[in-house]
Amino acid sequence: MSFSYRNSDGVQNSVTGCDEASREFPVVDSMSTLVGAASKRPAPQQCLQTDDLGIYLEQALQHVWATVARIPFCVARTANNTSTNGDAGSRASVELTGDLTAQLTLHADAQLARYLTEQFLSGIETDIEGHMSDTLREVANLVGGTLKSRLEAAGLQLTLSIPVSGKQDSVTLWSESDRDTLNLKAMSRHGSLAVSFSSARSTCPSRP
Amino acid sequence: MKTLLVDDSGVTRKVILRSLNAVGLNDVVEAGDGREALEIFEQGASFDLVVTDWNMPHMSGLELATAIRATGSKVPIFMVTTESEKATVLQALQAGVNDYLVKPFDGDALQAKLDRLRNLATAGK
Repeated sequence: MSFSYRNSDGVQNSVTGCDEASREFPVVDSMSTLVGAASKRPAPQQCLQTDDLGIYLEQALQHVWATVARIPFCVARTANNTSTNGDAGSRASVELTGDLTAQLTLHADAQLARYLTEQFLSGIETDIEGHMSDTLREVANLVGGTLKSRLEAAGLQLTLSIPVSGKQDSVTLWSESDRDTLNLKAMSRHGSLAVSFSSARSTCPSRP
Repeated sequence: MKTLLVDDSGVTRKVILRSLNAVGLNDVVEAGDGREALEIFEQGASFDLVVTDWNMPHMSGLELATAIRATGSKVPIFMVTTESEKATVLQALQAGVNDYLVKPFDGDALQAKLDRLRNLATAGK
């Protein structure tokens, strides 16, 4: 399908070949259902490759978006462009360490950063500009935390860092040959979000 | 009833504060991380409810819950976090957390949980 949107400076954009988020994912919201549950983590069922991570990341992004943004959006993988039409916007990142070392960076254009902040603070705060960075840090925390839980359910053991504004230093110091990078772009009528996920290069054997 | 609200995100504290106020919990003390919260707790203020994030700088919500239980306090502790893997939630239970809500959440779900905890805290008085 194709999806059209207009960014904050009025430029019309369109993307083809992506799906609007419509999937729903169960969340654990009751302690009582967990009493007696096995505490042993499942063994990893497979060696996670970049495509596997991409699916988990898309699912995490869709789950968070459906809850905090509550508007239709379209997500597509992009080659290597994490910019949002040159719009400064807001950027935040978190790192995962443990069985996987990776950095997740979100870059919302100014229009989306404002919209998300308004959604969080509807009716309780008028200083939207002053809370946009904090909002994007929290969104990065939500996407990173959801991704972590999904990967842990697949058998990995991970730790999530505290979210920071901008990019963290450690992964950006890796050379291109040492990392795999996934780039996604989520677009809506309220602006766009570029997502970059860099992880240590997979040592999994190639699949046929 | 007095509530200690702990989260390193100011935006998230505002969102939770709105829900606390909506269920009639208006006496709220805020802290930006577990260490600050524990200092407030140890100063002797009597709290009826603790609402805390898990992933915070200096001291996590899990460490905070453990430290509060180590003082002998039975104050209800409610954790709001992105952690949803079963083993992780059980870890929180074992540390003394009474109830748990996975982020991202909608306001109605949070309010329902807080309302229930407020009733529990009132009944325990």
